[in-house]
This record gives sequence, C-alpha cells and structure tokens, in this order.
Amino acid sequence: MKHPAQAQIALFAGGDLGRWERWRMARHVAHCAECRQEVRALRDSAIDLRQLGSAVAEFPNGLNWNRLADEMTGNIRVGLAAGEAIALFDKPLRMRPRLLGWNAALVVLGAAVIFGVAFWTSLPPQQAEHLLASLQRIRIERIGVFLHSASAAAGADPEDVILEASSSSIQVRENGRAMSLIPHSDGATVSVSMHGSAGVRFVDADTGQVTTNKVYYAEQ
Amino acid sequence: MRSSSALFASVLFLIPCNGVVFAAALPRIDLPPDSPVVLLSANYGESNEMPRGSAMLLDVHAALSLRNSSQRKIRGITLLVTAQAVTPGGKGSVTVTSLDVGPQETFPVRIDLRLLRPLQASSGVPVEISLDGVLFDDLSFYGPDKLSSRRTLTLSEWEARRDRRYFKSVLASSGQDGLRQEMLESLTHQADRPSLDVEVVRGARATNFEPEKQVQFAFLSLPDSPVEPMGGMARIAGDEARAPRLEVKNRSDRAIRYLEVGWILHDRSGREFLAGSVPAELNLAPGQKRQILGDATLKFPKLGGQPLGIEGMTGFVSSVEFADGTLWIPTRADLDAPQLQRVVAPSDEEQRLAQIYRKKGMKALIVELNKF
Repeated sequence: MKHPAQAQIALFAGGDLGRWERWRMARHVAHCAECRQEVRALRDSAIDLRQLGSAVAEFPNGLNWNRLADEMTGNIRVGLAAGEAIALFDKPLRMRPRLLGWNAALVVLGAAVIFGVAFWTSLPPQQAEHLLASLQRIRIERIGVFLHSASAAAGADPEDVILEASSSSIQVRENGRAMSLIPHSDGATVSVSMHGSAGVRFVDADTGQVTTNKVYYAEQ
Repeated sequence: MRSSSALFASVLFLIPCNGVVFAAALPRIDLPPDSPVVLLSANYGESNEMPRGSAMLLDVHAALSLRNSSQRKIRGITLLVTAQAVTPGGKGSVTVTSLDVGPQETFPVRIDLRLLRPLQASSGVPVEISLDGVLFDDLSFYGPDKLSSRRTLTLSEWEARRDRRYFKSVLASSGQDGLRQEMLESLTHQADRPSLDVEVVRGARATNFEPEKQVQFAFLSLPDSPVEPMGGMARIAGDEARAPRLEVKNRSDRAIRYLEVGWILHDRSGREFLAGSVPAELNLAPGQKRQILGDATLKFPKLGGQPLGIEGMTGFVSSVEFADGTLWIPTRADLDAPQLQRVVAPSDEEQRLAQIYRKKGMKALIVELNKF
C-alpha cells in the first residue's frame, strides 16, 4: 500500500486539508492502521502542546492561539506550494511512450520475417543459391564500390591498383579504369612478377636488339 | 563584362578534357659524369601527354644513340624512366640485353612507354631518363641498381652464354642441318607457347566470391638445382591464385641471397600456363630451410570466353643468386623436360639468334655465333 506523505498526514491531522484531499485522506486512514496511528499521535501532540502552552508563564497573556495557528498553517501551505512549484520546474517532462508506433513496427517486421522465410524455403535450391550469390554480388560490388570510393577519397590504396598483362598490352587498372601502358604485338613474351612488375620482351625489328619494357608499382 | 566572363568559363567547362593533348616537356636524360655510356643524340618523336580521368597519361618515345665510353664490351643496359616515383605505373624501365658493344662503339636504345602521373602534378614537368645499370663482358657492373638491374642483366648474360655454347656445340656436332633444326624448333616453340592474361593485385585478399581451397604445389625436380623445394601451397578461388607459400632448402655449400620460383598452373582441361614467378630475397645458409611468401593475388581473366578453372600447380626453381654474386640457372637439359619446354619462354639470346636465322638465314647466324 502506498502511504501519503508525512506533510499530508500532518495537515490532515490538523484539519488543514481541502475538502477533496481531506476526503481522500479520510478514506486512506480508515483502511490503514499505520497512518491512523500517525494521525492519532499528531493530534495527541497538538493537544499536549496546547496544554503545555496554557501552563507556561512566559507566554504573554491574551495570546490569540487561533490566529497563531492560522498563520502557521498559512506558512506551511506557502512552503508546500513553493516546493511543488520548484519540483515541477526541475523535473524533466516525461513523454509517454508511443506504444502504438513500436507495436506497429514489430508487427510489420514479424510479417516480413515470416514472408521471407516462407519465400526462401519455397525456392528450389538452385534458385536460392543463385539469389544468394546475387545478393552477395550486390553487397560487394555496390556497397564495396561505395566504400572503395570513400577510401580512395581518403587516400589511394595500392592494393586496389591492378597491373594486367595480356596478350596485347600491359595495363594498369585503378577504380575500374584501365590504361594501356605497353601495347605490344604478337610474338612478344609477357611476364609478371609477384613483386609488382610486368614486362614485355621482344626483338626489335629495326635494330635486332632484345628489348624488355617494364612498368612497376611505385614501391618497388 | 561579368556575363562574358561567365560565358567564357562555361565554354571552357564544356570542352571535354579527355580530348585535349598537350605536347609533353622533353624528357630529361640524366647520365652521371663517370657514366660508361655517353649520349650522342636523342629524338623524342611524338611524345605527348593526355589527361585521362584523374591521371595524366604520358606517351614517352625516344630514340637514343649512345656510345660506349668505357674500355670494356657492354653486354646489357637498363634505363629507368620516371614520370612520378610514387604513382603506380609512374615508373618504367627499358632493358637491352644480348649486346656486344665494344669500346667507343655506338648503339641505339629505343624507348616506347606509357606512364602515369596524377593530374594534380604540374604539367610540363619532364620525364626523367636515367641510367640504372650497365653490365660488361667480364660481368662487372656499373650503376645505382635501383631496379636490381645487376641481377637481371647478369641472369640474361648467363642464359646467353649457356645458349650460345649449346648452339655452337650443335653446329659442331650436327652441322648446319642440326642447327637449322634447332632454330625451327625454337621458332615453333615461340609461336606455340601458351600465353595467359594475368592480373597482379597487391595483397592477398579475395576479389571474387568463389569458395576458397588450398592447393598443394607439385615440384619439378631439377637435379643440379642448389635449392630443393620442400613443399608449398596457394589459396585458389575460381580464377584467382593468391598468397603462395613455399618452403625451400639450400642444399648447396654456399649461402643464397635470392631465388625465384616459376609457377605453372594447370586448368581443368589439362592445359598448362606459366603464371608468373615468386621472387624472394633472403639469407639462406647452407642446409637451412626457409619459407617464402608471395604477397599478391594473380587473377586470370577468361581464356577464350571460358573461365580458367585452376586445378593444380607446379613450381620449379628458375634462378638462384648466391651471396658471392654468382648465379645458378637451369641447364639446357633441365629445360628439355617436357613440362618446362611447353611453358618456359626461350632466353633473350635464343630469341635473338632465332630472329637472325629467320630474317637473314643460316650464314648470318653462323657469323653471329662465331663473333664471341
């Protein structure tokens, strides 16, 4: 059971609550032995205090006890109101969660998963493999190209440069573009080295000399 | 005024960049003062530069006339051609081997290369042509050797000596008919040798979607080889072969500082191709084993419209350099092994001699063989 605050109990005990609050507190106290005990103790204390006040000589004669009680009650009310106002000011506004939006999203997601699983299991194995390969291709070619261009903007990656030795030329390929570096004719001997060079050897028709033209990666 | 400037700017913007050809600044030839070769003349022909996308494509054509200013015969020379040192494709070389240029004799060197330079790099900066190395007939070397020209030129010279010796012995033992037969076989071999388009990608990462498998190397045993391949494998995925890993053992009594392993691929239909070579600079003491790694991916585009399904690989030791600078190359008998004969290209010298025979006939060939 949730108990009211001590201040509310004290106001109730002194008969200082409004009509609506007093009714609520009365209902609670009627069912709650602990709060009832607290109210009784507060009222007994107030009676004791009054009796003590009448017996003390130092209190001025003719003191208007009712007026003093009203002032104290007023001060308490002002204090409570100020506390509530400050508490409201400091407390962040609590947004009620949009349960309906999340629920709708979960329903759609669940439906999509069920549809996907049903679609995948109904596909013949060959088509499923083909679809998977296509998806992987899209992932690597499309997203990979995006990542690649981002990295290229940051700085050229030497691993993405391809040296290609074909029967007609040696080319360097970068970012999908190919540039022919050493075009050559049939009969030339093409060689590549894993150190990152490619060369073409041929016998020069004019001079009869054996000439080897090579291109290199930068770091060699 | 403002509107006419805007119109001019718009017209400039509409001019397609790729169509603009600029005359390149003349290449700058940089030979050291103590160079054993002297530049006599240079003709730069139709060298030009052209923007292509984000790069500048430089067509470098040069016909140089050089003179041997040393006291020894020149056997080979390598010139380094640099458009931009840090751009892939920005650096090239021209090597001329099987030369026989005596002191004070002149010889031509033709340069026909295309190089790349970033578009941001200032246009008009000359392409630099410099000397990387000269090999003499006593196997001494001159030059900065930035491109390992000493090794390349010396290997070529060793192969040239081996093949000249062989053809001289054929002439001596079997006469002109025997030599003619050898030349015809060589020309046929050069024409029939299977070639394969190869793409080299730095790094050993996958670029396709095929499932990957590890394939073991088979090795051709060359009896005299100072290096014994112990085992090896490469990762094969569809038409890609990457990250070859080989274990080799030095079975000679000398330390080895460089070796090269030729890499033959077999496809599903039983065809064989020389894919490339796996070079390794290492320090291999006698009896020591070492693993060598190739950090690149070789990709083989479709052959005749059909994807190349790699089924197997064979490796063979194609050259070894000892710590003392001497070399080992396969003998003619080694190269007569059917598998090697099918795929390995003839040496520079054999190719040159076969061309002399084809163009000038047997008499000219015999004169050439008797020169040295």
